[in-house]
Amino acid sequence: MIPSSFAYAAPATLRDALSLLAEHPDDTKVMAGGQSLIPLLKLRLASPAVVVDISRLKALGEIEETPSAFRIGALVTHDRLLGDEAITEQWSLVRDAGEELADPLVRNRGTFGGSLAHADPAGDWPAVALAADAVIHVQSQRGAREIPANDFFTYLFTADIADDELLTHVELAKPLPGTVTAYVKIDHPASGYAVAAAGVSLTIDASGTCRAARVAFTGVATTPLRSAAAEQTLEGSTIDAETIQRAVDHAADGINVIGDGYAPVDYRRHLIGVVTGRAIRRALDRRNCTPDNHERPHT
Amino acid sequence: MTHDTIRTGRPAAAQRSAISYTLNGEPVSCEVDARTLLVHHLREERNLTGTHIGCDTSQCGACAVHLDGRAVKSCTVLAVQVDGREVTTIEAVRGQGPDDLHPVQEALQSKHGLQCGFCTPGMVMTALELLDTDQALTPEQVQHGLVGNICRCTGYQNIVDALVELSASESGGTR
Ligand SMILES: Cc1cc2nc3c(=O)[nH]c(=O)nc-3n(C[C@H](O)[C@H](O)[C@H](O)COP(=O)(O)OP(=O)(O)OC[C@H]3O[C@@H](n4cnc5c(N)ncnc54)[C@H](O)[C@@H]3O)c2cc1C
Ligand code: FES
Ligand code: FES
Repeated sequence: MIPSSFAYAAPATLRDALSLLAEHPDDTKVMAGGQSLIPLLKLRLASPAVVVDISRLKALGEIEETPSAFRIGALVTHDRLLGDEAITEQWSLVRDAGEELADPLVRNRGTFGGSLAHADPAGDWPAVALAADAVIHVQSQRGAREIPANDFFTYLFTADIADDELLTHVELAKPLPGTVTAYVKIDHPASGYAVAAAGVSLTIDASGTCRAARVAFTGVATTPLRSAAAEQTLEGSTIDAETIQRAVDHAADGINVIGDGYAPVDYRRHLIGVVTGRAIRRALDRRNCTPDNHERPHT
Repeated sequence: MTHDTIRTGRPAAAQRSAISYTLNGEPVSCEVDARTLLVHHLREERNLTGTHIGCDTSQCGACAVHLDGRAVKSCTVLAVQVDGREVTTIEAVRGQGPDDLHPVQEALQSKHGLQCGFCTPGMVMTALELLDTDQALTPEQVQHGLVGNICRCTGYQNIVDALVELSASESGGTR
């Protein structure tokens, strides 16, 4: 279908973009890769008066590496992120998630920042951001803010970002030594979106004890979110088969799981356990590939 | 919507923007409505009807074109966004074969990788990017590369076979 009419601007600088957003805070939509927004415009589920296309803001399109972190510009495309070897080697779950996200054509245009700002309750990057403790940076004429991923997703398609703010970049700290990560998605066969997916990050010390665990889900609730129960089960333990089973059994505790015609609540609860177990095992398998590798616990 | 607004066309608020870009190697300068999708611009304003529309939900890939050398869904790009860029459509895909067919088109033809042909222009545009590698692709890699292109006729197998064989021959059979 044809979108309804809107006024269009494609500012060349961040300054111009922020001033446009400050001038027209209501009924204005930011457009990055357009791979979520244009489908909404076509179905007229969105009909903004003004579209501010930020895709020409070069400053937002870079990946920078510092000794301690990766700084990923909001406009970095899914494909570009997937092709960044430094990031995908250190954060394996980025490769896992990116390879299963949409299709090559969508990955050529859709952006990392757009995916987080869109806060799709079944989006893949939000769960990755949660599992990796990413920090989201936003800016407006009023100033800049940084928001831990865990506080960013507030409701269905709603994130902690105001109408006059732009997501500028995301800071991904380099993983602590001994960290292994994985992402496992069970996708809807038609849409490709997650019915349930888990991103897992485990930091395991020399004695084999898990010092920090992050277990994040998408596709299962009104927002992507972390499982406190699974994380607490894993932290402080040597992750053996019994611990994994306990994490699987309790992964959905405290989560208000959503149901739909494809996956009713009980089935989705079950899938939460399935993806939790698979993601933990996949991450542990990767310990074998790390240099200071200790005997792998049975799983 | 009343018949009146349909007949009178564009609402007063519609914004026309001047764009200049390269289309299949030729410079184009024109005005477009901000809301016009690239696929509609190509089909209706440039009369290039090889790029197809197979869905309303950005899922089928029948509309695939190359934007600055990368395959994209032209139903999910605004025409105004291609200002200053390079667009390549199926009309510019040519080769030395009979009927000027490109090797990808020849492979699909000889392996029976199309029936009604509606999906084929999009398949070809996606395949061109997928095959842009020195490596011979596995069937799994080809399937994974085509997840954004839907075909309602062939069952995909012949398309996958055609592209696997072509990539093997182009890479000299090495993997
Ligand atoms: C066929 C298809 C399949 C898909 N499958 C998947 C999938 O399996 N998994 C998945 O996670 N996603 C999937 N997507 C969505 C895709 O990943 C989108 O690219 C992504 O959700 C949005 O990124 P974008 O850059 O395209 O954002 P846009 O569509 O441009 O914008 C989306 C929203 O975010 C806002 N926004 C964008 N960038 C910023 C910014 N920098 N600052 C503030 N606000 C901003 C916009 O205002 C808009 O509300 C799919 C899309 C399609 C068309
Ligand atoms: S018409 Fe573009 S994806 Fe279907
Ligand atoms: S050949 Fe008919 S849709 Fe693919």
